[in-house]
Amino acid sequence: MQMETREVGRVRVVRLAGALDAVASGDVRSKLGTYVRDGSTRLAIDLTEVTRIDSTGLGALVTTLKAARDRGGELVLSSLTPPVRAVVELTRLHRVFDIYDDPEVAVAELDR
Amino acid sequence: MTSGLELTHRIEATATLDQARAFASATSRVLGEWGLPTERLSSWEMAVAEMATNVSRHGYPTDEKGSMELLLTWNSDGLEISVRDHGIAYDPNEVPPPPDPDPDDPSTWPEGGMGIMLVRSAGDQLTYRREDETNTLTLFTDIPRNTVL
Repeated sequence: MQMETREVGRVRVVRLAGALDAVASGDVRSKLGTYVRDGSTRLAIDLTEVTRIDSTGLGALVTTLKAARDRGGELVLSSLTPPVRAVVELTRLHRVFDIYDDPEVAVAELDR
Repeated sequence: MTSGLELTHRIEATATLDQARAFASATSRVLGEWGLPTERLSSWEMAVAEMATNVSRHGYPTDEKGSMELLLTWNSDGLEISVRDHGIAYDPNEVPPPPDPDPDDPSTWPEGGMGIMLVRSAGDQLTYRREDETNTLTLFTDIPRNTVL
């Protein structure tokens, strides 16, 4: 799994690529937690290149969302591939996350 | 009693997270080669990832990793995907499903416990057997071989 970050205004954009599964989710959870603790509480997670997500990957995103909200921030998802969207909907987490088709729109909404 | 050709594929490996990922990839590759519907491959792959990840994370609590086995069987009854291990007993049917997340109540947002729910969603029946110190978790999908080809 690859993680690429950039900052746009007050938003930290995190672009993930590969499988967000049990092999990668511990590292991803830890890195995202560090960003939130260091003050990047507005996170836009771009999932364009995430081929697969499992329950541990979802858990990492939920943990980070809770941490961001606790600090007055937000975490949004964008560009879900069909397998990722299917898992998010099966677990009904689409009711919890704000999800955007376009990563740039996600960033613009978070930076308002 | 099944009729017609039965296809099977078996992989045995050490119960690690990397091997869980390899089991998942092998599942979609082999089932695709067999001619199962392309649109369902990713859900079976996901189910195997969850089943095998569970074994590698919880099946062998000591440092020394045991083995796990993936067995794919497709015949005139349907598709069976089994993951077998010799670790501690674990019956997923005893695990309560995670709560339905309420957007306004973060305490209901699940950070774990979603794996078995995802496994179940990929097929029609999930069964667990413990025999001779061996766990076998089997996902059955009602997709008889002769109806697809």
